[in-house]
Amino acid sequence: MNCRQVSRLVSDGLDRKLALHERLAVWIHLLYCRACAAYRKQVLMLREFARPPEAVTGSGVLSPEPPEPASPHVDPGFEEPLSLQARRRIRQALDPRTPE
Amino acid sequence: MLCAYALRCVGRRDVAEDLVQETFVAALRDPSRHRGEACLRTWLIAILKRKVVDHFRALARRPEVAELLERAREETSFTDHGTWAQPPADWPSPCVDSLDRAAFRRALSVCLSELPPAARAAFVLREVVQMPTPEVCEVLAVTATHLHVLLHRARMRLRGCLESRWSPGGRGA
Repeated sequence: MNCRQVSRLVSDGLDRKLALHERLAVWIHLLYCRACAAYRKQVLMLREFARPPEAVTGSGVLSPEPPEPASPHVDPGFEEPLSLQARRRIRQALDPRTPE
Repeated sequence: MLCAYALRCVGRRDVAEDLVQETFVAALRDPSRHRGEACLRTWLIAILKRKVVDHFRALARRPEVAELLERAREETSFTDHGTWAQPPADWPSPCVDSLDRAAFRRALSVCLSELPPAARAAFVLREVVQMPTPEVCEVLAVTATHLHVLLHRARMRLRGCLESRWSPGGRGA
């Protein structure tokens, strides 16, 4: 089994139960392949950091983290409350008599 | 909080804001559904998750995205012999330093926003919304095999993106 196949199984293993022969093949491959072992660690980190468990447990989604510099892709102002326009649209959706 | 969650899921501010509005509207239209055993934030997040799922369900029906879902193919990060073209780096775990965790989350958000729509939909539904794979298949109207390819492709792209955007020690992104 080569790295392409093992990396696919490492990913699949997060979403389905691998068959015994698949688990064995991955385990043996990871014993000697540092690249695939690093890949496995990376996808596990992706899972850990993609999931916002704090959102559900109530300890705060997007947990209190230090202020972050603006990113070119993520709107830095998005943590702010809804805009006035958005609030107006919500009010209108709830009560059509609300003036524009 | 809701806005940030929605933005992480859909990657576009206007769409995220619409979903949050729909969440509030749904909550305010039928507040009796909040039975009190869950905190308000948890309840709102649950509603928002359903809105996110509906968003991706509709997205998957668009012709251009449906075509991408159909053509889901393996990543090309490997040589013809099946070995890594560029071996993954050994990332240190940013588990102690909160600044490092923040940097990693920030870089991940950026990389998520750069994923192609089909891979992004699969990854968000599976990893952010945490839906079981059969439900993700149903939402995106793909087979389990297709979904696994999409998820693998998303993970490969994300790790590649993070290697260029995140530097352990908080200097990244």
